[in-house]
Amino acid sequence: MRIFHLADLHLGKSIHERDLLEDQRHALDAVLCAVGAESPACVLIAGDVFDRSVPTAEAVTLFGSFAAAIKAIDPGIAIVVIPGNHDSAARLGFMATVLAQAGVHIASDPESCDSPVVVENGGDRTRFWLLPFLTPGAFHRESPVPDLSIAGQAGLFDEPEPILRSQADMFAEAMRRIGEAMSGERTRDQTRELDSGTRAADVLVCHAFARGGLASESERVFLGTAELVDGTAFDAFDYVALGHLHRPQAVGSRGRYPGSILAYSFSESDGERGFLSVELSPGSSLAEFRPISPLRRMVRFHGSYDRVLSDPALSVYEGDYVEAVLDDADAVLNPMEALRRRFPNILSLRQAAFERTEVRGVSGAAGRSEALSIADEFAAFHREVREVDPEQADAALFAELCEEASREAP
Amino acid sequence: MRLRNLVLSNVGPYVGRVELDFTELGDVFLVCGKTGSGKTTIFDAVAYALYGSAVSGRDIVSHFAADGDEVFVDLDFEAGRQRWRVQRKPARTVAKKRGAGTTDRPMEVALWRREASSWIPAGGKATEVDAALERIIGLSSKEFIKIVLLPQGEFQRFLEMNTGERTPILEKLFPVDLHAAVSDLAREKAKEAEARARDLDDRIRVSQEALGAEPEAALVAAGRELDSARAAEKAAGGALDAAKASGQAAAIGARAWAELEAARGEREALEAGASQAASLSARLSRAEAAVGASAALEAAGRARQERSAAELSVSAASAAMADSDSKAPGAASTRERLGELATGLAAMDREAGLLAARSMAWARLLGASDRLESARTRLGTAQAARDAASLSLAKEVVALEALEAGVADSKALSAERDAAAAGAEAGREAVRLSLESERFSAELEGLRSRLAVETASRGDAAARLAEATVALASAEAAVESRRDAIAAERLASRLADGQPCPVCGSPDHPAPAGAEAGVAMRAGQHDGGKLEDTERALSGARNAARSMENDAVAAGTRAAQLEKTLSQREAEAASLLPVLSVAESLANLRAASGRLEAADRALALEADRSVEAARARAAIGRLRGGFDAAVAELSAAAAMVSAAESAAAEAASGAGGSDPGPLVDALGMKRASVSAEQARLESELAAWERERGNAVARAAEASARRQRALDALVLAEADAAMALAESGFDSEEAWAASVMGGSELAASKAEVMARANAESSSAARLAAAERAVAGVSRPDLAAIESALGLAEAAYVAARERLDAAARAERDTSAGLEALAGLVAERAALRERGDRLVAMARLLNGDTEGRRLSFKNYALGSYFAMVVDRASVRLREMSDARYDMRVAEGKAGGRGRVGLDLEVLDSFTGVARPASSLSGGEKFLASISLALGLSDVIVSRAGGVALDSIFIDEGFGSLDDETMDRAIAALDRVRGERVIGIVSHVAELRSRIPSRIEVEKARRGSTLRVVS
Repeated sequence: MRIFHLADLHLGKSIHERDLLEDQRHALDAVLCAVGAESPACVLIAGDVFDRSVPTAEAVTLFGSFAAAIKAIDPGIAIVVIPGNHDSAARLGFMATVLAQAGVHIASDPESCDSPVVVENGGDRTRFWLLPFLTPGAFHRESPVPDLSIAGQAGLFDEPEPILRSQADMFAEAMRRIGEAMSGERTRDQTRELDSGTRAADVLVCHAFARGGLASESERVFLGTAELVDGTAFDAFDYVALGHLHRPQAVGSRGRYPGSILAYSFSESDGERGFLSVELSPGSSLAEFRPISPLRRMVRFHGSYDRVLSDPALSVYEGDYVEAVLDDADAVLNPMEALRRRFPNILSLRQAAFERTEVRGVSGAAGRSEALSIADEFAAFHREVREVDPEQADAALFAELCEEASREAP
Repeated sequence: MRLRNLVLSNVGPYVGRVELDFTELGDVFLVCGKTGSGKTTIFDAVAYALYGSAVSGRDIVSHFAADGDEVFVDLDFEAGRQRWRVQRKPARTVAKKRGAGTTDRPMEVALWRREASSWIPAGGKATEVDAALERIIGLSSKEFIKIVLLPQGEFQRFLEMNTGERTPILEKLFPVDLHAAVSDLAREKAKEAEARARDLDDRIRVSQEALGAEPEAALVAAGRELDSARAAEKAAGGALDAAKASGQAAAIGARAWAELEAARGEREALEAGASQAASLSARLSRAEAAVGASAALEAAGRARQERSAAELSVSAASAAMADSDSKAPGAASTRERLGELATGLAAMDREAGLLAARSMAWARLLGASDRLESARTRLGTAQAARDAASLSLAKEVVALEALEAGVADSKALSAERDAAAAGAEAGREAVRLSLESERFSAELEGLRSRLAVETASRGDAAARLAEATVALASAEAAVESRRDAIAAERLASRLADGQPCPVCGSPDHPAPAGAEAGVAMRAGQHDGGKLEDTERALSGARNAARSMENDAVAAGTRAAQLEKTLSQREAEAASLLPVLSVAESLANLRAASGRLEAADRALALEADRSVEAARARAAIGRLRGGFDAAVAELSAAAAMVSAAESAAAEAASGAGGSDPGPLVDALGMKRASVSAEQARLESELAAWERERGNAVARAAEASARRQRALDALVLAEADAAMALAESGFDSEEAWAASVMGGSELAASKAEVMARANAESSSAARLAAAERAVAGVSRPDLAAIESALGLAEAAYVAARERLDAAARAERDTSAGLEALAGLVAERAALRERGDRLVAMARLLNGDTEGRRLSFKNYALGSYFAMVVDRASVRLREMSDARYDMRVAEGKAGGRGRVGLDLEVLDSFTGVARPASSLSGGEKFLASISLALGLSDVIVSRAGGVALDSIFIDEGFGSLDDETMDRAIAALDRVRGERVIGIVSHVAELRSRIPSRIEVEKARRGSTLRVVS
């Protein structure tokens, strides 16, 4: 069956104080067109639906209308959502049981990761194993955690961690549970297989930073927990629908990140953004990237102030979100005002003149941070005030005074 | 510095003990909770534990804490790989446990170090511990709250300070002590140098004055004088030596002559004592010979002595015996006397026995008389008692008889009373009956009157009823006729000629009712109306008739009832007995009551009387008993008297008429004296016998001794004679004369020997002296002495002159040298002093133009480093919009280096002061500055590891996007540091999984760690 795999919508996000809801709406509309064209059996959103745990009303409304629109196109399309690290799982999962009856499945409790959502379409069956973003303490300790911590080995007799904290640990626990459930299902499948002839495909949906992935500037770092999860467990599934990294990429043979639907920082302005349309079958999957052309592109220019202001080649970008990096040698006075007249959506401005001083400052500081001797300081001071180097006799006198002063000091 | 565990007891809003384990939290943690719940208190407590003062200035002691509660903060932390623990209790004023008033408890603080698995105390005095903590952490309290703990609202103060305010803080943070010290030292030294120069100048001047105008010439003259003085001195010295030599020679000669004379004298003395010496030596030789015999002779002498002593003792013993014998007769008479005494004593004892018996009898007699006395007394009392008893008895009997005379028949009295009571009862009953019968007749009257009324009304009602019936009938008739008329008219109107009449069937209709058609119609109409009226009248009449009927019936019923009741009552009345009138029966009742009262009174009297009689009887009984008892007593007493009399008579018989007491006493005394004498005599006798025994024994002993002594003497004398002969003495006397005592002997020997030595030495001395004198004449000492004296005086004078000359020469040359030295010193000082002064001016910023001191320069460069680092952070957090820089152009004026901050906005390209940023931007800038400060401090030599940063609020002033950026930037730059954030912003709760949640309750707050 065909499914659409989206992730990292970040509805309600603003950058440089500019609300991107309109752009997001435009992107979602593009998705809807594709839904109409390709008729997927399921639209899957692998986390970070919203940008904040308490999103704005407009963002929530937008998502609601998006889901409604999908259902309007075809009520039989299943919508599957998991919360990411930006979402509040509890808020996102409100009324989940009621919505499930309408074919909208929102998984917000990690404990239920071992009950899959089954979608059937024209004889194909797919099991979606939904794993919401794991916050520390997500699992109650069921299986004893072996005390392999360094602390345990050092014989400090600390108790083993009762609560799983790191992403890797929690992910491993989740994989264990899902693995058990999945093998149970597959066994049942086998008996059914003899009857109907097809087995179900197993898809894992999770929101994590898989080892081997490339990060972008606009992702939010997990605070206080070890980030990476191991991707070797992915091979057990037919497809792994990942979310969190904003650059579309693959991890291993099964895992795919569709990337965010829009570019959310200027450093990402080079790549394309969009979603994945995946053809699933038991044992294999074929994912195609569908780019979404944004309402306004994220563009970064380098150049002198005059060029940026007047170069006609840049006219195509006049409606886009712009970051201008001015490389003039001297600081430009009030560039923003003028640039805003040409590029009304200019969001950010950097002046290389400042960065250069910064560089000098940094290296100077690095040089200074090795303890500069007081004699050298004196020499520098002398140069500063008298504009010549100190004479030998003066330097000697200074050294003598220093020694005496430091002897006297306690 | 990393926090591990914090325990709060009654601190801030936390009641009781609250414990917080920081190791359970992640590297980034959030302290969240409602406003005022106690989030800041956690960091206040940390600062308090380390430095003794809470950052926010709030009181550590909880307002919920009672005086008896313990208040303390206990912090377990790690600094540079060493784990420490500090516990601090605030100073408190609490009520005294005993007595009134309050007592001040000072702050207490204790510090421990962790070694292996236990805590080792590391200090207990507050000042010690505070100093130690500052060393351990490496920061003072002020620095701490700029760099590690950024308190609410405080951090931006540092951002907004001007140079003057910031300078002292930076001075404490950066090692510019040495710079300042060097500058100060330079200034001091420059001053010193100047002072020394001035001093040197003065001394040069003085010295020059002292030396005078021509110092060199003076020096030469002094040299010359010195030379001549030296020559003179030498000459005088030579003369003196010669004089000395001759003096010495003379002295030697004089001594030799003296010696000769002495030797001669000695010789003469010796010769004078020669004869004495000779006799002495003869004696000596005899004595030596006598020594040999001395032992034996002495023994003989001792034996003789012993013999004479023994003789003495024999004679003494026999004297004693004689004495004892002389006393023998006395002893015999004493014995006789003792015998007499014994007999006398026996007789006395016998008499004593007789007297004793008599005494006993006398005592018995006395006792019996006493008893007789008492018995007689008792008899007397018994008689009196009996008499009294019989008197009272008689009285009572009389009284009783009187009472019993007036007995009345109680039975009759009570019968009378009963009758009276019955009569009264009957009277009451009669009264009641009369009252009732009156009532009854009244009731009957009432009934009768009512009956009459009712009957009348019944009659009326019947009459009315008849009327109404009549009216009704007439009304009905009227209606009927009216109806008929109408019907007839109606029928008539329909009549048509030729058609049969509906009533009678006739085809002719001669006179139809209401023939005038119009009139008929009109009448019909009118009659219609009239019909209605008639019908109305009919119904009215009907109603009236009905009501009349009801009335009549009711009246009839009522009357009938009344009649019935009346007849009933009348029947009852008839059955009543005739009664008296009320007044009569009342009179009867009163009489009956009077009778009853009289009967009661009589009865009561009777009762009283019988009670009295009973009492009298009882009294009589008692008295009789008493009387009998008195009689019995009387007889007993009489018996006793007689018994006592007989006893007394008996006793008198054996008593002997008088008291034997005194006789007994006299006898006793006599006996005592006799026995005393007896005792005395016995002891005398015993003494004599003892003496005698001793004397006998002594005599025997003495004779034995004498015998022994005689024997010994014989032997000794024999030995002595032999010894004498051996030693060559003729007789013992001769020997005795020659004997010399041991010391005398030794002394004599020595004397003889000494004399011999003296003689020989004297001879030798004399010879030597004669030899020495040979060829030498006697010198004239006196002259030589005087010559010597003169030579000495001359020499001394010469010497003094020499000394004076030398001094003068020396002084002059020294003065010249010193002067030269001073001048040279001055020259050297000039150069160095100038250099020092210049250095001092340079270092202290006293130069013209750029007035910058060395210390401030160093500060400025450190500060520039800090701002560089801070700027990097700020760029990150503001997405490259803002840069931080040291403000230039303030370096002029009064040696201050520019330490002002400004922020460069890339959007405008212009710098503006830090104070012009918005609240959120200031927050970002402040965090950047704190991070920059800590970067630089860590990297300086010996820098302390700043492992933690705590930020109290500030995130609330940021918008979502900026907050995201700030948190992300903090996380990126923190490296190994732990970051603790206090904030109430809700979004952070979902971003930061490790949390301390503080909940405020009415009675204190509580903490919960979520991670």
